[in-house]
Amino acid sequence: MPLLAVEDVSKSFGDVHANTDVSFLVPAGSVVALLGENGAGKSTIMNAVCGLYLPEKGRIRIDGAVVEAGSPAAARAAGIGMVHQQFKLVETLTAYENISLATGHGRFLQPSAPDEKLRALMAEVGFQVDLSAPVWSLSLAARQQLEILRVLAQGARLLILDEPTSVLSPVETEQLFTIVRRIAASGRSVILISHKLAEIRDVADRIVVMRGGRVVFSGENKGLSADDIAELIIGKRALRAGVRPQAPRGTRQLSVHNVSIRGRDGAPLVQQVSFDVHGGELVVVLGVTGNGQSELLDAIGGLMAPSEGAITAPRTGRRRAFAFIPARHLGIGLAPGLSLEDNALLGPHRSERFGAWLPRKAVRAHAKAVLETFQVKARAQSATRRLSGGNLQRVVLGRELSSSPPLIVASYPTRGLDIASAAQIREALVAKASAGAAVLMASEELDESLEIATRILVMSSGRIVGDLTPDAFDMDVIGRMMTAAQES
Amino acid sequence: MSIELLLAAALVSATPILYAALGQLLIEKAGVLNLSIEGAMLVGAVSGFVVTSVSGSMVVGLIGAVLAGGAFNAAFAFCVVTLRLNQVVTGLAFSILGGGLSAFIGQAFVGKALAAQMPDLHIPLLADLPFLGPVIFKQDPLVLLAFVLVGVMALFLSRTRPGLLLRTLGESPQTLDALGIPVIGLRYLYSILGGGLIALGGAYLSVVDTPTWVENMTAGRGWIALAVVIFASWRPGWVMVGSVLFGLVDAYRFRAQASGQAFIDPHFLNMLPYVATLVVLIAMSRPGLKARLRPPAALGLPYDRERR
Repeated sequence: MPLLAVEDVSKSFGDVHANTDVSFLVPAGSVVALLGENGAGKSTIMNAVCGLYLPEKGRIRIDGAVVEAGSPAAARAAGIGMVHQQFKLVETLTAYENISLATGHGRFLQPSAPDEKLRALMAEVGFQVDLSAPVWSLSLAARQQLEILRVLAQGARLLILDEPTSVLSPVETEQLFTIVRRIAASGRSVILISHKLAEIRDVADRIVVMRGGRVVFSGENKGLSADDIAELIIGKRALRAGVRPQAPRGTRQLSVHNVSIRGRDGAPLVQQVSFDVHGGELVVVLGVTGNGQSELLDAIGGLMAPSEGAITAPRTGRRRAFAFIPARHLGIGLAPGLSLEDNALLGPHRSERFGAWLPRKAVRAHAKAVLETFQVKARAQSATRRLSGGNLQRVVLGRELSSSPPLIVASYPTRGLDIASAAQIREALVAKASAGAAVLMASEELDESLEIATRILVMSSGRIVGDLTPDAFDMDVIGRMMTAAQES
Repeated sequence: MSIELLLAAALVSATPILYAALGQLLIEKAGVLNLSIEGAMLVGAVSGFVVTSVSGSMVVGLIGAVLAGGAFNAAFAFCVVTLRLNQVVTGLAFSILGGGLSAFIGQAFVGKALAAQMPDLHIPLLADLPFLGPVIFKQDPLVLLAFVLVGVMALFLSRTRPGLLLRTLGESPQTLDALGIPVIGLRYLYSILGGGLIALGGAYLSVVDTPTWVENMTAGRGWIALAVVIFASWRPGWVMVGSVLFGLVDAYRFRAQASGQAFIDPHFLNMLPYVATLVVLIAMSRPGLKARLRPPAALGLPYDRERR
């Protein structure tokens, strides 16, 4: 009997079918890789297994017994434990205190050292975490081990790891996989959710591939090549005819030279990246989320300082003289508490036509023009935070494009938007490039990038691993570049 | 005045601050920013005095003060925990409210004296120790209790599961919520317990130390207790150190004023607790010390399950 059986689970959010009739098995003592693109429905099905989502249809069984749906407590009691991408540890407590929060119900005295049972578990699985150290002093890899240990100490027999390698170095990834193998050897099962093919193939016994909310493959890992799996993940899709900007290549507007960026903890996020963007070009930085694209664009937009290298972009004095659309519109692109009228004015307020007194008539006319650029149907006086994501993005774009900038840098301009809004925004960017502006955007969607880009830069682990023009666009090749592990 | 008497006076001066600061520590560890502390101290002082003079019993009076402080802070908790009002604005309003309320209740008692007086302890053997005897063991029992409470609270926080939950409550209430532990209920509990301790600090002034009721008699001791908790980075042992340092300054000031000759200007000394607090705040902003000394991460943030 399999440890976990997922049977015909369907879950939708509004009109979006996140999961349709999802079924697969996880045998006891096995490592299963759950693979798929962004939005393939991996997280939804795992949240349903953990009881966080209530599916409309289907059953979850552990050892053949049905687990009450939509109840995290029931899932935990049945032995299902998940380690999320964002760790849920209390930083000021020690590692051991974090574990005993979850395991020490009903006692009064709090021991400062772990008991026999926990130490036996640590030895069995091969953890090397200093349990007396406060969590803030631990590395990300150690925190992850601690999360896994905590879930196991709560009695989990099925361990779900969401993108476990995204925060790890190659050496740390190897250590994690050693632990994963030992957990499986102890009779427990592990599900790894991942984008990174090459790494996962080494450790997984079985593979489940999801695409468009359905399971398209479920079976043994043996006998599958990397190409087979990449094809399963991406599927056979026809390349839509591109509606690319058609403009002669103009002057160089943006130059990024040997740029490296480090995170606050010193980890390298972007490494030695160089490229130029010219007028008439639409360059897409493509990659799976968390491979350095957003940091790179933030550095170009001035939200982050690169640790090395130089970025040359149009400036007047020390001020940026190009359009920048940040990934987070509410909070960075727009002030949520201000009215649309005031938000439309932020940035353009320096223009001479407003002068020092911001005359009401000019402000109104400007706000009207910004809202009309992309047909935002909202009153100019209404509070910005009430707008939908699509409308927020339209307001930011309308404002940033109002001054006809020579360079447009947009960080994930279509992320989270409905199909119609995303198409409208893509068209606007293509039109601007056709009119001679240089456009640089980040995207995590393969189809979109192939459709509109005049050039694609593929990023993986902070490096540009592919620089392609339309004649070399190939879904399989780019898909493999995106999902490639650091070593390959 | 001998050094022993100076130290003994310092411990007496430190006691009301210590009670208030320990109460404040409990509330802030639970993640509630309690700026109403000066008001709660005054409420404690006036209710302690009034109940003592009406009932004739000091013990009853002190219990009354603790209950009044608990009730005062329960009202504060209702505003900031249940209604989720802004904790800074609400805290300041309650501070002023407490001052006004105490003046209103106490107006008939101004200038009256209490019949009874708290007897000093005389613990056999310990009180006869040289130096330590007169400094520590020939005091009234509330002084000793305050210092015992420091140890109890330190052990509670570091060695018991409820203490671990309290520390987590101020750091990451969503963690407790996920474990099925009632965040709102615990915040009420510690607000009320802390309010009781703060009021006991106020009542110590009006019932035991002075003993008399004067309008606004805490004279900023609540704010000093608040500063001491920050100075101590929310650690009970350091709360004691901060309170005793303030007690020393207070005792020295009193001595200087009485003798008419001061080595250091007493007004300058008055300023020092706040300077020390600023120095600690600056130290806390340094990256190396940040993680060690920082305030509870959820301090001042109302908990709302749906708004993660």
